[in-house]
Formats: sequence, C-alpha cells, structure tokens
Amino acid sequence: MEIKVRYFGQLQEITGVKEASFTLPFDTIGSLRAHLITIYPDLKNINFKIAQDNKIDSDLSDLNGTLIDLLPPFSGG
Amino acid sequence: MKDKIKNIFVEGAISPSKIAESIAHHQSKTEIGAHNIFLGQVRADQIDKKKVSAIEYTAQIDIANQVCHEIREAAFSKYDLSCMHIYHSLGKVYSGEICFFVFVSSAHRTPVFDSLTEIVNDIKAKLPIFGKEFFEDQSHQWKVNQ
Repeated sequence: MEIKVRYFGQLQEITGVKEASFTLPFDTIGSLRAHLITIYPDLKNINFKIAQDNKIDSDLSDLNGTLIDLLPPFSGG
Repeated sequence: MKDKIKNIFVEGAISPSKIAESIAHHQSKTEIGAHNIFLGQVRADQIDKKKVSAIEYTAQIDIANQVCHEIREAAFSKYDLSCMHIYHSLGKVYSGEICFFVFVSSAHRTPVFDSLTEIVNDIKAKLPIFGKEFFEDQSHQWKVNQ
C-alpha cells in the first residue's frame, strides 16, 4: 500500500520537501514516526502530531490510512 | 444545531469593513441582545532587535475546519448562543492587520462573555494552523503560541 506523507509548517524546512510517498509497510503510526526520524534526525527536536486520513491519531494506532500528515506545534490566532 | 462544516479560512487579512458588515448583518436578528467579538491582530514583536513585519499562515485545512466545527457545536450545546462566526487568515498578514475574528451573539450578555474566551482558546490550541513570522529583513522564525 502506498501512503502519501505531507509535511506542514516548519517540518517542510527540516525535511526539505512538502510531501513524499512511501510503500514500506508500517504497522503503527509510531513505527512510521520512528522511520521518519531515521531519515530526518532533526525531527527528534520537535514535537509533532500525526494525522491519518484527516484525523489526528495516536502513535499506538494501526496505520491504515493513505494520507498521512505531520503537524508541528499549532500557532494559529 | 447540526450545521454542515464551514470553511473558516480567508486569504490574507480580515478587513475592518468585513467585520463592520458582519455586525450590520445582525440588525435584522432582533432576538439578539448581546454581541461579543474577538479580533486577533498581528503584533510587531521585537526579538533581538528585529521586528516582526508579517505572519504567513498555513494550515491543514480539512482537519482545522473539522475541529473548529466540533468546537462550534460544543459551544452551542453548552451556551445559549444565537449565532457564531469564525474566520482565520491564510497567507501573509502584515503587522497591525487582523488575522482572526470570532463573533458570538446571544439574547443576553452572560453567554457571549463566557463562551468567547473558551472558543478563542480552543481554536488557538486545537486547530492545525502554523504561523511563520517574517522580520523586516525577510528572515523568519516559527510562531509559538503562549
């Protein structure tokens, strides 16, 4: 299964891209997070939430969505 | 109140005339006796002798609108409100301009005083909106909410 990962806000500066596709299997959101941190070690220094299919989800949840969003700290208003 | 999900986002600054128009639209709703309005304005923060000249906002729009919808529904069930309008800017908003507008109305003052703080705080805490603060020399930093 191919997943699309989109990076928001300052995460685009850390990764140098806005989005990327992955075909590797990840069982949980946490395992995807761990994989992304190995590719982009600077992600360790920032708190970010992960959403799948437009819903923010926990690292313990199964990864079954195809649209994954990485969301750095919110600063609206 | 099962409204469909509204898009709160507008491109660029929210103009004072849009705010005035929004107030005027309520003159026909004569059951209303109290309005309360929050306006967020881009502040020219000074950091290490550099001044913020603008904030560029981006968002995960689908999630932000969904979460805002939930905040709206929760406020309508908790407080006796007649109506509520929420707008947030996307893109660049310069210092001194309005980037965030929340407008609540009710028959009486207590619900609008009590609900507005909660709605504004919830939106700032829960919506995936990201502010990039530009300084006058075009360098930038990422906004952190207090």
